[in-house]
Amino acid sequence: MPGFFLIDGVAHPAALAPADLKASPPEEAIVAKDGDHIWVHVDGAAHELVWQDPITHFEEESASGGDDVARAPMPGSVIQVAVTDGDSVTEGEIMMVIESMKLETAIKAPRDGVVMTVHRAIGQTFERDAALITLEAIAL
Amino acid sequence: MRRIHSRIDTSGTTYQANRAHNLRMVAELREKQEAVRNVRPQRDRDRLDRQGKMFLRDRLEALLDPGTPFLELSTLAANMAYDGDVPGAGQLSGIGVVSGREVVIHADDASVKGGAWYPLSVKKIVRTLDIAIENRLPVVHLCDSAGGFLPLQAEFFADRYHAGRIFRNQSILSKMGVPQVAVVMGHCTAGGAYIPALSDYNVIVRGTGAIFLGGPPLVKAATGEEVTVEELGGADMHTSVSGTADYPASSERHAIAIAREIVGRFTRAEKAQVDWAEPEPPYYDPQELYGILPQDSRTTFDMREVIARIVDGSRFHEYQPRYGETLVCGFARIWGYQVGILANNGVLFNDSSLKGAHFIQLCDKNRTPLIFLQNITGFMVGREYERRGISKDGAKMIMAVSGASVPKFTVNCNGAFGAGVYGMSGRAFDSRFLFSWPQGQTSVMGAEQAANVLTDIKLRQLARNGDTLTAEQIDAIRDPVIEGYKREQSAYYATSEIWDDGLLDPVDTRNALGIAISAALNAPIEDPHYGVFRL
Amino acid sequence: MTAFPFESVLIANRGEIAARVARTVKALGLRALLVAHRVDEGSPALALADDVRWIEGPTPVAAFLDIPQIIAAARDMGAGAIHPGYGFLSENAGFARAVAAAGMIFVGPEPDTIELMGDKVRARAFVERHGFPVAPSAIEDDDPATFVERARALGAPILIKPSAGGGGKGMRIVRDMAVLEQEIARGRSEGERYFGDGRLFVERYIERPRHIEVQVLGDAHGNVVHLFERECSLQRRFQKIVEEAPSPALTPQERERICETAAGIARAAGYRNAGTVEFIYGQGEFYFLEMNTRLQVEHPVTEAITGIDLVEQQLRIAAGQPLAFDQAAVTRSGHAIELRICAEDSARDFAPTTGPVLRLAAPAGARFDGGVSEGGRISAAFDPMIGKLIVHGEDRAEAIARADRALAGLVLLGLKTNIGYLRRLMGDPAVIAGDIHTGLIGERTELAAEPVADEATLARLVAIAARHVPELVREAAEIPAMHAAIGGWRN
Repeated sequence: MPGFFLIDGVAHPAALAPADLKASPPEEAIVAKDGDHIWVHVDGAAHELVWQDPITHFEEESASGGDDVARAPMPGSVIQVAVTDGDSVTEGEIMMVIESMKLETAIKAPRDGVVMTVHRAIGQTFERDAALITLEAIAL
Repeated sequence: MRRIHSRIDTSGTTYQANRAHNLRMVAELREKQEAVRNVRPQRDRDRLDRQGKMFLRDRLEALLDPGTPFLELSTLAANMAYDGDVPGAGQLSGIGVVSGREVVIHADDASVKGGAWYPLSVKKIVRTLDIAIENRLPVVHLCDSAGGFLPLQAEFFADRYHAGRIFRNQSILSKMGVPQVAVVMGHCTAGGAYIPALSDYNVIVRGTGAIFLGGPPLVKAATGEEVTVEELGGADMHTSVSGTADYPASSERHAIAIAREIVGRFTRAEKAQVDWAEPEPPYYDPQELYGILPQDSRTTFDMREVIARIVDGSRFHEYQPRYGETLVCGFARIWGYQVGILANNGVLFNDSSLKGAHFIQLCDKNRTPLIFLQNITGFMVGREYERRGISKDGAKMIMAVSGASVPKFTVNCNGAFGAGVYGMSGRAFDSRFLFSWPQGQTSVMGAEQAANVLTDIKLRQLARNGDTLTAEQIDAIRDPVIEGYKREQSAYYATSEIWDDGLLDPVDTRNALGIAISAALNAPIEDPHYGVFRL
Repeated sequence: MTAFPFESVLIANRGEIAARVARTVKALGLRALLVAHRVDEGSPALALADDVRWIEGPTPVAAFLDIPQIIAAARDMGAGAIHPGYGFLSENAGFARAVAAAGMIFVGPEPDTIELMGDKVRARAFVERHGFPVAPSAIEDDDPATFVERARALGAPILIKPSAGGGGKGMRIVRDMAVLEQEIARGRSEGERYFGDGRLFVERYIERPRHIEVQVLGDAHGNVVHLFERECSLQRRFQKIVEEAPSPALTPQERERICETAAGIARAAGYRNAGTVEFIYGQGEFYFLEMNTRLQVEHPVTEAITGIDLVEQQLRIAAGQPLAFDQAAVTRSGHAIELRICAEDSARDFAPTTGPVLRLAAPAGARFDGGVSEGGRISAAFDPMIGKLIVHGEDRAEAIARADRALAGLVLLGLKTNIGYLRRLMGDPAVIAGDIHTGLIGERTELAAEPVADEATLARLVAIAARHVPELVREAAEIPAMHAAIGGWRN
């Protein structure tokens, strides 16, 4: 199944067509494997590629960035907003309170950061997993 | 096996003129296909983007194994219906390879009327699932449909081959042990809800996928209950509460990856054994087909020249080369599979009909699939031929065609007119696949012939009263008939109505047949047995 | 050839140097004995050794510093001599004495010489006393009242150092004497803060200094020769990574002076065995830095240009044999460069990396002294040096070209290494021009980052690696043959 190679942390789609299998491999390449880590020496340089099967990849892809976004744990409506764009928050700080199924739930900052966007105002409703507040991404 | 000796002069003016003509025909075909596949109003594209949905063709490519072929079927379905507003009938159908397995792919096209089902959409889906049943091919459904197009419900709901047939076919597939996996990438409303529900496996995309018998507006109207899409039929509800869906996925690509892994678990069907040898490309370049097919479909040409550009090594073992010469019969290979080919080199006479009936039985006994290359204007008519029993001999051929147990494949290369179509395994005769080339016309008789018959009838009626017609009056009768016939006998009309499984660029015929034969062999071949031949 | 008074030599070391010493020991017809730690199982030295004893300790490094354990192992194997390699116990006078006390020969200088040179202050005083150049300096303790005066007399630029200091803390460079007193005051307060000791000393500071060192050999018969200089100015985190011989900086006159100075210091010290006198060089001046009383990591560049096997000379000298050549017989040819191949990530401030050595193939046209074999592993237990590439060319330009080819041809897969960094470094215009100094690598921060591969290379890498993913291979092989042959056809 086509998957991905992580090269320097960036995912590159990887597939193998049957024709590729038949064609003789480029002779100048030297390859070594250590589990999912594949090392390729080509053109006088060594490169590390880390195989990621597609299901894992797409799961992680949708999970990543989750840290930047506080999402609705259930459908509901906003009853209180404690922050505005540009506010600094610390992990665990209450940013919003929502009401759902007659329960009030606090939406807390998933990490320390700066509020980039407040997606819903008081009274607005939303679906489960809807983005409520997005924090500015942290440069890696 | 001997190679066919081509007599085509590729530098001749006829060849060049034919070539220019046919390249224009193919360019027109390609243009229409491209429009159906990829050209959409920007607002429809934007809507998909907003919803975070992939374009159908991208879904398809993500699903297929890399570097493998996809034989798309009925691409131009509905191209002459609904004012041309429902490209492909809003459906995609075809045979591809997923996780190393040949599968039928059926997909709603949400970029066309929100994936709504029109009458021809239903016909296309039913045909797609018939193909799965006949060839025992697993099915992958990519579901994203707003539901039936209600204004036209009378044309797709109640009858035997209407929407219910989709679900009946799904159930039959499951009963046969042919697995299906549905990927819910949009709403599956009303009847559409049964596609994932009747699939052995299904995957649902969180956020965009939903399954319900009635959507939130209908629920509100029916019971006053206010409910969100997610609550009513979202991925989490169905995978954790109702059990209607099996696997939740966080994105379409994630869902496709899961579906691919599921297909990879399917045990491969043992293929029917037919004679096979290492394939060999045709000796003569298939591109030369463009110079062989005449500009005017009434011009005759030797079908052996066509066969030479489809079969392995251009090799052909001709059966009865001196008898019934208007029907060319013989053995050849396509992608290594031995096939028996029947091709028209003129009208069917008594002897050619007998030859055809005999050859079909030879192939059936020999477990050799049959290929019909149609260029048929019909059985011969006239006193002499009736006295020789042309109807009786034609019946023999139809009996053989109908009864043959080996898979049959039909290509309308130029024309398919009259009862000859029955003898040459037309649509009604359950060829596993039927394709047409862009100039391949089909009708009960030729346009001119029909116009002549109709004006003749009129003239005779008038003559009884001593009346007659002016040339203008005759033209006034003839012209609309000719015009109507020309429209409805065109390959585009036939494919619009799904009388075939799609139009082929002639040079693609070899690959299309190879894929079709391979697919057909997933179903076992019954022992030969026939009805009563009128001798 | 005079016989050796010992039949076997214990190598009290590991890695590349253990293997390198073992090769010469065996070439001389002697038995190579080894002490080794289990983490090095499968290493090249073990493959070469005639006998081995496993040693252990609280840490692997501690095992190699455990004198009684090593002496016991040597006795057990019947060793006649012990070669300490570099690092570990190589400059430990106590070890040298213990070896002698156990009735074995220590392949190295006299313990007294080790002690003298091991004490930086004594060594400096010794060298200065014998009239060799040391960096002009003023020590506050000598006469605190005149300290500022004496410091000013050195002339700018000068370097202020806390007497109790180390690691660069509290050091201040003064280029303008007008601020001297102010800087001394600051240095004093920093010294007090960091070390609880405000006493200072100053020395002449050399801008953009070069590290030049001279290889010397002294035998037990009073003969001393030098084997020319090496330049080791390319350093990261105060450690050499590229060394070459000869130095591109020296004029013939300077070369003669610096080499004769080194030989003179060795002679004055009654130096026996192989040693290296290190100098700091700049603006046409050079000053004694220290003397290393052992074989250096970078000794192969000297071997390459002189054709003399330094380990063989060490063993012959230890055996009491006189040097077989005099100074005039020591000649040099061409230019040699050594590149230290390290398990480190240049992009992350040369942080050490670890991992398996999945593939290791030395390039043609170069000497590779490796400390690990294919199938082995680089752990955090020892320093990150995996091995050394040594190239030799007619001249410096050719040597640099060969260095690049050798680096490109060195296959070392399984962990991040500095090979790519070394290639970038060797392609730097200043390096090519020979315009180098010990701070150059620190200035060239742009070389540290691994350049991102271009699209074509990435596509190629992905295509190559894809063939090695069993999942991909299996699924491609499962495609029916006809469909595979038709390929990505669409109708």
